Formats: sequence, structure tokens, C-alpha cells
Amino acid sequence: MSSKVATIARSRGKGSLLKDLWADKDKYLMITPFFVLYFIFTIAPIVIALLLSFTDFNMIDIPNFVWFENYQKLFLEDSIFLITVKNTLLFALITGPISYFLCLIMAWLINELPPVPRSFLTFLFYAPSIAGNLYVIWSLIFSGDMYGWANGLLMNLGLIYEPIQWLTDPQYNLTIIIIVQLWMSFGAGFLSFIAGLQGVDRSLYEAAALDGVRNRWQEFLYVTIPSMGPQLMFGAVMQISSSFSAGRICIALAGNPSTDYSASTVITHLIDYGTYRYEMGYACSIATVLFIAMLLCNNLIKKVLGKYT
Amino acid sequence: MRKMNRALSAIVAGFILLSVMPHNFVSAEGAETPDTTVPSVPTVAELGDYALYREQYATVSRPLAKLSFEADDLWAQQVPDASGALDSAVREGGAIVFDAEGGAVTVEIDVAEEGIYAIELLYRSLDEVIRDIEMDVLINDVVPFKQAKGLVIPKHYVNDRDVIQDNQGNDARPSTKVSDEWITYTLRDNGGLEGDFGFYLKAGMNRVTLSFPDGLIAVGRVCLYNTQAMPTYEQYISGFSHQSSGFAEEIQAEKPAYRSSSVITLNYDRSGLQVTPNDPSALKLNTLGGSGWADPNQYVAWKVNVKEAGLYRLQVRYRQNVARGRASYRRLYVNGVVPFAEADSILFSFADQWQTTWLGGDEPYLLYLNEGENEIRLEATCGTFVPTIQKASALSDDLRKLYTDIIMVTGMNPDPNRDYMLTDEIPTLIERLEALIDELNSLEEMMKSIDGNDLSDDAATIRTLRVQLEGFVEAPTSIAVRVTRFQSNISTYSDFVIGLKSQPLEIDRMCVASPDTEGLITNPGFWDNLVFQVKAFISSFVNDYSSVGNVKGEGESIEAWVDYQTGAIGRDHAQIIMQLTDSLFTPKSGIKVNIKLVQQALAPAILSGIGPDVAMYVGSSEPVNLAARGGLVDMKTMDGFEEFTKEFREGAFVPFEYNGGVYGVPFTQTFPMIFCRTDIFADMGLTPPTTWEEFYDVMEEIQKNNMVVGIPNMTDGAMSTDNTIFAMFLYQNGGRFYTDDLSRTRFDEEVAVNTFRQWTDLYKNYGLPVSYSFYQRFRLGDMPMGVASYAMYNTLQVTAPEIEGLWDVYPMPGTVKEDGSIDNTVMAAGMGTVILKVSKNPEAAWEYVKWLSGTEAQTQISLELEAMLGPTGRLTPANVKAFDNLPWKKATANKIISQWENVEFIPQVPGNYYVERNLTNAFRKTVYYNYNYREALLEYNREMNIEIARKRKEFHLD
Repeated sequence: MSSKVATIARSRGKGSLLKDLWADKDKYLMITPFFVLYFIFTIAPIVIALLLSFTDFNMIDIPNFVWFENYQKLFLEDSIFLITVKNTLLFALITGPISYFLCLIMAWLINELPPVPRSFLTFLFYAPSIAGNLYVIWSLIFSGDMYGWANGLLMNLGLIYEPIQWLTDPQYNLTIIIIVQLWMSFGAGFLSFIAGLQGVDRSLYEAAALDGVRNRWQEFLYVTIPSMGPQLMFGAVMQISSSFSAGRICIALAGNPSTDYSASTVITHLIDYGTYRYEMGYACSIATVLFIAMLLCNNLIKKVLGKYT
Repeated sequence: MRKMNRALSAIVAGFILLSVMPHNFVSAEGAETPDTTVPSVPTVAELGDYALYREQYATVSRPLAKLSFEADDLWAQQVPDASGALDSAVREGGAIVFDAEGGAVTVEIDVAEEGIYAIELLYRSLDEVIRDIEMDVLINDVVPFKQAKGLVIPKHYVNDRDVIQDNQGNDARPSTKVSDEWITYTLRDNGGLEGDFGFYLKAGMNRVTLSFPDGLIAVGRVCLYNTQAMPTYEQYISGFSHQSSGFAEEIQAEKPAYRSSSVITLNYDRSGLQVTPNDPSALKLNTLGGSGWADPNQYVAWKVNVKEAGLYRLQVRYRQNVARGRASYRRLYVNGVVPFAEADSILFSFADQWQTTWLGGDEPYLLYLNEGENEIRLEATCGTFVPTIQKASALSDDLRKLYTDIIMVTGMNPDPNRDYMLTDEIPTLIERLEALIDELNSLEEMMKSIDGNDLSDDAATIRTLRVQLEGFVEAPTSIAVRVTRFQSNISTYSDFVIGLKSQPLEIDRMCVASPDTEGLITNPGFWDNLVFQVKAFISSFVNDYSSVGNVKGEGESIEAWVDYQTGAIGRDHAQIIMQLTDSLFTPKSGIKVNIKLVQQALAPAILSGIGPDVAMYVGSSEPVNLAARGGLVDMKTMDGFEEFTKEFREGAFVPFEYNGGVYGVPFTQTFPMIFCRTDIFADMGLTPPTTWEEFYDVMEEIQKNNMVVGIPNMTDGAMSTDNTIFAMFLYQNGGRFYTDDLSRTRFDEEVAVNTFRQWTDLYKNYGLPVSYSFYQRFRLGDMPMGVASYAMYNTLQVTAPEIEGLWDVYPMPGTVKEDGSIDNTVMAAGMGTVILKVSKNPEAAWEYVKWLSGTEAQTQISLELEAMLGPTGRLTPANVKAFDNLPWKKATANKIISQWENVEFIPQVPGNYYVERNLTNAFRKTVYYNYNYREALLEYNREMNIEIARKRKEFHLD
């Protein structure tokens, strides 16, 4: 559709752009409400953050341009940034693929069930991600008190003798946050997989069976996956952005900053600079770098999944 | 000549003094005059329980007599450490009036035969402090039982004005004040279990002393008496024949004549038309009581005028939705007496909604009222629960004792592979367990037989505990590994016992009606209610809930923000500040204040330039960071700043100083003190430590008995280490956080390194727990000594009644200096108030800030909060004089003040967050990983100084 409009526009030449706009005025009018909101709350902040990243904005004074000083510091001086990049990548590489495939497999398995248990299980898996701050229950489980659940259990079993400070000990905290993230990862991607599986054309399976598909695995690989490309794409994009922007859970469980920044991610680093230190310019440069990294990653995914869409 | 004049006037003055001195109070003839000072009173731990006392004299009769002693028959005395109470005492209007704290009265009674008597007292409070009166009773110079020490008698509280509306149409809560009316009160059990106390008098001459260590009081009469058993309703009603007719009048519960406790509050209820008065959009004060009217003996009285003397019925609209499954009980007084036995315990059943009932149920009780004004009083009582509660509380004590005995052998964290030979270590263990099981069984049976209650939840609590104890008997070797669960079962059980005593009740209104008239309280129709609810729903879109009372009209006005993220402050809290501002500040200064509740919005507000004039409840590390960026007003430039600082502790402004200016005013302030369980200390023969050497000795003793000591490292929920303890050690050892010009830290000095070692060794070598819940463990006794903020005192006082009198608070241990003196400096911290640069009227804002942290406002805010929330709401004011005005017990207040005189404040520098987080990192590296303390501190110290230097460069401070 969009390519068609573009072709027509090109064929009429430059001067008639305004005319075209006028011709399609009803359509533009219809997208205006959304576009205004989208511009104010998404595009404008991105542009502003990009501009602020070249300044020394401190939340209170008028910002001065410092050009690339922030980026220079970010890449050459900030050793904590490197730790957080390492943590974020570790975090994204573990939680990203695992939860992506976990969602897909679970959705596939659940999809085989009759409607009532299916919707029940869907709700059950989806619940943690909509339940808001439910993950604080993990801070009870991994409390550093000897009466914390994990400590109490391990001490009763005689495996440990002193309570472990799960959330403040750098040895454990990132692992625990990864576990909690996996528990919460059945989010929008999972729902879209279920929807995608529902939407696969039943006749395709019949045709595939005639063409020699022998088992469910082959069916899954050669029919199901290719026909739910858009959903796979959507799920992957959601997964990437949630993995890269993980921070809420880290702060709630391990604090900000965590001990020796052992569970700090790029996002918590950004919050650290933005709110505690009032160095908004620098925080914006972190945000910009994160934004570009996510963009590149999305393009990569698009390339990989491109053949299905 | 002049000399003679002076001598003469001195003599005359002496005569005048002598003539009003109470020494010449004439006693009953023949009796010797008692001393002017009453004997000193032993501590609670040394006294026996009333239950034992009652048993001891169970066979002694209660003579039916009334021995009344007017003020002329009483001697005035004073308590041992009081000064001037006796000198201040005067006889006035048939009473002994004490004008200083620490007064006492004594009466001598000659009885022919020994007997048990109740004591009734006629008294009047002379001070305005919102706190019940505490007194001690001595019979023949001895405190007869535990409860006779610190016995609480109520004051009567009234509203200082009628309910008025604020400018948004919402009702504003009136302030509570102490009524100066005379009160007649029979001394009784504060816990509500024993009823009126009976005091034993031997045959012959007895001396009864009533002493009042705190508070100003006037005593009018002391009466020793016994009365006949109450008549039944049948007997009562047969005495009256005249029924009234044609009368019906409503009494709104929120307009009581008086109430015995300030925490029985007026409430806003918006549940609908069934509550009057009501309004779909505005907040109306329309009910009274609720969970604040739950303690036994708390009472409320209302006045009603009737046209003719005769019999009337009483209808009540009430709600008891707090104590699930349980009923609440009330004792009814008509004109000061309980009319018949049934009125001694009237049941109000549990339901989620409002209920309407006639007292007496389907056949309403008829109550005789005099012509004209009558008083109806309802008093909380445990009713038919009393025997159950008595049994349950006794069991609770036994269980806690058993737990302590077990963990003294096994420790709290026993090795599951070891046999602790508990049956040998505690020879009576099995018998004790079996006795407990029997008792729990019969308790469960008792609970089944209580009418009008569904106690299945509570029965489950008991059953769980019983099953566990049965398991203990079957396999005593398993006790060790199950001790943690035993502990949590006991704490559930303790909560259940406390819950049993609680008798919450909320009343909307009552109706006094003649037997031939319908009651006025009817249920609203369905459609009426629906219309009301729809109106309420619609108006919820229009109401501005973020502002608390809105400023309209002329004159100067400023805006103040309260950030409810930073502290325990809710809408009610803000409303109290608003009301006090309106009633005390605005009339005097002509400045109107608009208070808004916000959430972490200060920096954006400063940025956009549309911020408030004043921000309250700002954490002490914040002002420096805002000031460095030019967001705050320097208070030093304000009028009368120097004068104002004298109202605070020296150094209280240190956290708000930046580059020569002062950017905040302290509002609240807390500091740590040390809490000890006196009962466990007595068992082990320990005394609270005053130096760190003693502290380590006591800690060793406690740990030998498998219990622990708590020094806070992480506050609950917070993630970074609590550095105030490190700072305390450092300051006591003579070190400091920063150099004098605040340009760098001083952690690279030898004293800091050694202090860091001392601090980390507590956790590394002495094995103190890094995270724990002090409140829970102190209550149960496995942490008999711990450091906590002094505000914990109120929490424990209110929420842990089962250990009442078994613990106390002491100043922190100190470091012995070379000259032999002890330095027990601790770090104080708190919230502050700031003025923002964007303020258009900084002078008005400064006036407000001065008022807010001044003595009057801090006192009033605290008293109002306490009136609403009970002692847990008490403020920890920064203002020194305001603290003196708060209703702390004298002995406790003196200890707190003696600690408060030795506080220091950590200066704040730009980049302070880096100091905090790196100290945390250094601590964890040392404690978790056994890293060398010196290297850890020095390594992280470098990080701190880099950040501080960077920030100093940013703000051009060098």
C-alpha cells in the first residue's frame, strides 16, 4: 500500500506533493490524533535527549554545549559504564534467547490444548508480567535475614550455616535477577505467539501432510514457523527492548547502585546519573548509545527473520 | 534601716509560706504524721502479678461498706525524686491541688476487720498534655502487685470546637483538648481482664498512698468501697413502672460529651446514605471510633435531653468490620452506673456493613432516664472473652519461656545433625510440653463455647501449635531443627492473643426512643442509595485530591509541597499540618499556605520555574545537591536566622551547609539508642553496657546463651549500608568524615582505618547478623539487646504489649577517653525544610519555615498526630523545646535527652552519594569476602575523592 502511494507520488513529480497531501486529506486527518501524541511523547523526547547529550545539562541551570565531551567520557573514562555494558549483554544474551524460545515452545505446547485449559494456562503464564510489582515477593524469598525463605530452607537442610546475602552479595545477585527476569518474561511476545499459532491456516497442515511431512516437529518447523513470521518478529523486538532496558527489577531487588555495580545495567547507570547526580546531559548520552545499540540489534533480527516476513 | 526592712519582709514571706505549707495538714486524731515523701517504688520485674495477689486473699471477705475521705482527710506528699510538688500543693475548693509534678496523697484508715476493697478516686487533670495519668498505689508503704505500679487512669478529652468546613467544603477535624471536669474512676486493670482491683486491708490502722509521678493533678476524694452484686434486668425493670411516650431523638456519635482516650477519633465515612451526615462529594466527619476504640476500658459518653422521666429504648447504628469473625463488647453506663448485669457486656456482632440494632436485641432493654439531661456511656470491655484471654495470655508466657529455654541450648540456628540431648538439658521438658498441650486443648474447647463469634481462624492457630508440640513430645530430638517454625508459630499465637483483647467498634449515631415510638434509624432505600453513589462517582472526577485545603481570597499566599515518597507521611498527616497552619500560622502572620502532596518532583519543579515556595520533608542529603546548582535560598541571609538556630541542637544545621551558606532547616531528628530486654538481662545477671568494653562482655554472655545482639547494618527495605554506626565509632574515636574545608574525605587516616576494622569485625568476627528484623526478634527474646532509633520505643510500647515492662531503652555505649571520661556520641539525622529559589515571596516562606520548625508547631503537629494514631504517630522533633512538650514518661525522656545532648551531624558535600555507596561496597567486600579492611577502605576511598574532586570542579569550589 505504501509503496503504491510512493510510486504514484513519484510519477506525478515534485510540484504536486501538496496536491497529493490535499487529495489524501481525510487520511491524514484520521492519523493526526495518534501522530500528535506519538510526536509529543515519543519522537520529541528522543530528539531532545539526542540534543541534550551534547550538553552539560544538570536539571536546573541553562545547558551549555560541550559537544562530544560526554561521549568521550563515556567511552574512554567511565569504567562503571563498561561493567554495566557487560552486565546488560550478559543479561540480554541469557534472558533474551532463553525466554524467547521458552515463550515459543510454551505457546506451541499450550496451543495443543482444548480452549478452556488453554486460556487458563495462558493467563497463568502471562500473570507475572502484568502483575506490576509482584516481583518484590522475590526479595522476601532471597532476604538476607536467616528467616528469609531461601536461607531458612538451606539452613534447615544443613547446606549452609550462615545466612547468604543473596541480593547484596556480588556473587549471587545478577544470577537471581536473571531468574526473576525469566519468570517474568512471558509477556506480550508470548501472547502474540499464541495468537500467531491460532492464526495458522489449518489447510496448510493438510497440504504439508500430503507433501510428506511425517511428524509434529517437521510440521512446526516447515509450516508453523514460516506462517507466523510477523508474530515472531514482534516477539523478538519486544524481547530485545525488554532485555536491553532491564533495570526496574535490578533496582527493586539489588538496589541502585548494587554492590560494586555487580547487578547494574546500562539503564540503572543512566538512572544513577540522571537522578542522583543530576547529570542529565551525560545520562542522555548513555540513552543515545543504548538507543543506537537497540536499533542495530533490531535490524540484525530483521535480517535473520526477514525470510519469514 | 533598709537591712531591717529586708529582714522583716523575709520573715513575713516566711510566715505566708508556712501558712500554706501542707505540713500542717491535720490528720485523723491520734495517728502519727507520715513522712513528706512516699517510699520509693520497686521496678515491675520485682513485683508479683495481680492474679497471684487475688489468689492469696481469695478467702478474705469484701465488706459492704463505703469509706469516703474528702480532701480534708488526705495528706499531701511527694514522690522521692520530685522537687517542689509538696511545696506547690494547696487546698482549694475541697481538693488538694498540685502545681508541680510528683504529688501524692495518703489516707489512714482504721478498719475493724481485714477485707478487700475497691478504690475510687475523684480527680481532675490540671495540665493540657494529651497523655493518660499514671499513678502508683501503695498499701502500707508497699506496692501490693505489679499492676498497681504505673496504673493508668484516664483524662477526659473534648473537641476544642465544633466541626467546621474548610474552603473546599470538607469537614476539618477539630483538635482534641483535655477537659478540666472532675472524673470519678475506680482503679482497675489496664489490660481489661481483672476488672476493678481489690486491695487488701489488714485489721487495724492501714495507710493507702496514691502517688502521681508525672502530670499535674487535683485530688478531691478517695473512697474505699464494695457494692452489692448488680441486679438482673428482671429485677431492674420491676423497680420502674412509668414508661415514657412519644419521644425519639438522635444522637450523632461524632459529637460526644467526652471520651477517655484521644485515639478514639472522629472519622470520615463515605459508604453511603446509611451514615449521617453525608455528602456525595465533600468529606464529612460522621462516625466515631473504629480500630482506635478497641482497648479495654476506653469509653465515650454522650448527653441526651428527655422531656419526661421514664423508660426509654436505645437504638444504635454501628460497624465492627475490623476483628474478623469476632464480636466486640461494650459496657453500658446510664448516668454513671451500670444499670443491670446484662448491660455489663453487650455484644456487637461482626459484619462488613453498617448494622442497626436495639440494645437488648428483639426485646429491647428499657432504660430509666431522668427528666432533663442524661449521660449515656459505652465502655470497651472484653466481655465473655475474659476467661479465654486469661488462659491464652498465661499460655503465651509459658510458650515464650519454653522457647527461650530451648534456644539457650540449641541456638537459633541449630545443627540438624547434632543431638542436643534436650530432655537431659531441660529435665522437665516433656512434662512442660504435655501440660502445654492439655492447656491448648482446653483453650480450644473454651473458644468453641463463646456465643456470637466465629473463631475458626483462631482455632487453627491453636491447633497448629498443638500439633507441633505433640510432634515435639513424640520425637524430642526433632525439636532442634523445628525451632524456627516453633518461633513463628509462637509469634502468630502472640498476635492472636493480642487480637482477642481488641474490641473495635465504630458508631455512626444512636437513637433514644420511647417504647411506643419507632426508632429514627432506618435503612435508606435502594434507589436513593444508587443516586447517591452515582453522584459520588461523578464528583470524584472534579475533586482535587492533591491539595489539602485550597487557598482562595486575597493577601500573601505561598505554596508548600510535601513529598510523600520520602517518609511516613500521608494525607491525614498533611491535613494536620494544614489545619494547624490555618488555625495558628495564618491568623498571626496574614500569610496563607497551600499544601500539596507530590511525588519526587522537586528538581523538575525548579527547572520549570513553577515550583513551590517551600518543600517539606526533604532528606538531609538532598539540600546540598540542590543548593550547589543554585536551586535553594540561603537561610543565612534571612532575618533572625542566628536567633532561630538556638532552638536546635548544636550542629543541627551542619547537614544543610554548603559553601558558607545554610540551605535548610531541620524538621525531624532521630538517633540510635540501645534497647535491652530487662527480664533476660536479669536472668543472666547482666546490666546494660555503658562502654564498648562492657558491650563486648555483655554480647559474649548473650552469645554464650545462643542468642544474638543486633547492630543495624541495613535498614529494612533499604539497600545501602547504614553508615551512621560507622560514623558513630569514628566520631567517638576522634576521627571525622571530611577535612575541615570539606574538600576530601579523611578515611585514609589511621583512626579511620582502625574504626573501619572495629565496625566490620562486629559482623566478621563477632558474627552479628547483617540483616534482621529487630522488632520481631526483640519481641521474641532471641535478640535481647539491639541498637535502634529511639522512635522504636513507641512502636514497641504500642505493638508489643506482651513484653510490656520487660524492656527498656538506654543511651549508647561510649568509648573511654584518655582522661577517663566516656564519649557516647551518636549520629543524628532527619528531614528538613527548604525554600526554593523560584519562590516569589521568600520572606513569607521563611516566616512559614520558622513557624514550622518552631516549638509551637512541632509540639502541636506531634500531639495532633498522636491524638489520631496513638503514640506510634509521635513526632521526633528537631526542635529541642518541642521535645520537652511531648508526653514522654519522665524517666525515658531524661534518657533520650541525655543521649540527644551527645549527637553529631555528618556534613554533606556535593557527591555525598558516592561516599555512601563506596562505604557500602567497602563494608561488603570486607565482610562477605574477608577482604583486608585497610585495602578495602583505602581503595574505595580513592573513588570517593575522585568524585568529590570532580563535583568541586563542576561547581568551581577550588
